[in-house]
Amino acid sequence: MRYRVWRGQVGMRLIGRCGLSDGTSLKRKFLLPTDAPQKRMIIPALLTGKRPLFCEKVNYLTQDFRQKLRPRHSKIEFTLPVHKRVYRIVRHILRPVIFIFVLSVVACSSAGKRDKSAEAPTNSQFGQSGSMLKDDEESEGEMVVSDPWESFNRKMHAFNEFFLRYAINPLARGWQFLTPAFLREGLNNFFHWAYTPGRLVNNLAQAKFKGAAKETVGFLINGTAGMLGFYDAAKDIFSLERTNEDSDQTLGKWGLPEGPYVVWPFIGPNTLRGTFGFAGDLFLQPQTVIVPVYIKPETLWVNGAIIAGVYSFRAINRTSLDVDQYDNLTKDAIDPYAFLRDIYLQNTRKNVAD
Amino acid sequence: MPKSKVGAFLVSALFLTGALSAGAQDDLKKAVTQVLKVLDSKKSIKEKRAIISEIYNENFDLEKMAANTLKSEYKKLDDSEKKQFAQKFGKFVLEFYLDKIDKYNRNKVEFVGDETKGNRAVVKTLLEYQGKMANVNYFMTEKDGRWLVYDFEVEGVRLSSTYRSQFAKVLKEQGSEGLSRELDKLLAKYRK
Repeated sequence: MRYRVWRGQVGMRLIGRCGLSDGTSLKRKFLLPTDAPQKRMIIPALLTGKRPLFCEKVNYLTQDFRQKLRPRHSKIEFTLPVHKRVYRIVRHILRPVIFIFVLSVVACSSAGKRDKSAEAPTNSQFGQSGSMLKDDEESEGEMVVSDPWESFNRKMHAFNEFFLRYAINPLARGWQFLTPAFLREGLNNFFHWAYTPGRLVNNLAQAKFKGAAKETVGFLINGTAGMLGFYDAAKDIFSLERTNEDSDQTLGKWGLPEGPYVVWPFIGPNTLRGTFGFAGDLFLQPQTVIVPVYIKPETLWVNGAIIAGVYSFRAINRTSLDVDQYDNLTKDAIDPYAFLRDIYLQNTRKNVAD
Repeated sequence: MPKSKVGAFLVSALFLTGALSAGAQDDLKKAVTQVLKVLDSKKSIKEKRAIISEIYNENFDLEKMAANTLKSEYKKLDDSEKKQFAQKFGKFVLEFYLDKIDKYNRNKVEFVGDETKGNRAVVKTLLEYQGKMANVNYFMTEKDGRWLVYDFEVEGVRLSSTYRSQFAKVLKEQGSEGLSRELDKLLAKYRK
């Protein structure tokens, strides 16, 4: 007889059905374990001679319960079957992603209605049927910019610049001093490798199957020959180019207008659509799954702090590879704010269009 | 901060193009071959800069580049202002490239295709930059039987579009003299 009892977490709902040897069964939803009386309903039944005949579809159990159960029923499996585990992770990701998508449709559509110029440019901006030269030379290369929140954005840009100069860059230089280049490059490669699921999902969502195949093969190669992504064997040995698909591009591909340009503190240049894309990408990143499911921090704040910590560490490590990148880039600008905005928007539009 | 593809701009995308076939492509190929030869030679940096500057002046239509960048604002300038702007902006673009000579590392280049419409053409290339192939497109115009570059685009980021709103803002707030001053400031950064 095999009992299937799955791993759970304190305070979660137990949906259980236990058939007992006296012919009765427990079939109801139990809340475990903080609810002590209900916990006792099950445990005595299991431990006082009434042997359960079957115990299935039990989604979550507490540590206490598992410890009490284990010595008497050694055949009980405490881990989820693989397909159920995958399903749980997908469900964990999909719920917020769908929520974000619905919210972004509403927000970007209403912003698009208010401001026609905020509509995402399509391929037609790059010329008809993919042509890069327009019939009307005067309008060629004209760029539509929707920046109704410029005053806020400029303040955020100034803050980010200050933050970069006096927090990120010194930290990156310190990190650069402490660690050898190969380690920092390896870590950067590792993050790129670990973020493959997000790019894969976005490739699939845009029906870019070639890109999805590249990501999958790259993930497998770097996961093995590349020692968990530390070495980019896919690129160096197999010349396999990776993609850069993200949720913003997916939303754009699905026809969502990009909405106004916005600069967020710490995060930097974005559009309204890109903001939702950014949130979607966060949910497709491994730490968003690993932290709540496996590390199980006590509060949402701790959860958020760990995720933000990973994000910041990645940013600092990446900056340490080229600390002067920002200065080199904005050296050629009269107005760095407008310069970055126009570059960001052009690059985003190109990524959505291709 | 955005990890901009403009980095790709940086490695003189301009000069590093592969084999082309006809018209605009031929002229660009010629210029590129000359520049690659100079870059691969054992000449001093100073000599390289001088020769590349010459090739740049021969193969770029600075007037059209200025007009294409400012668009409608360009028509509002008088002749001397137009000339001054074209000259300074052209010099800035040249300095921008010359600054990147030392980053040249025999980067791979692939020719993708081209498209011609009247006296304008776009030549599409791929340039290897930091292990990735970046899209680099050159916009060219025919002048006196020769094709000259007047704009270029790296990973969707176009020279003219990137500077238009900045220049327009300066023109609006400080006039053409202000724009000239701002260009001088940009040029001064390269004369360290």
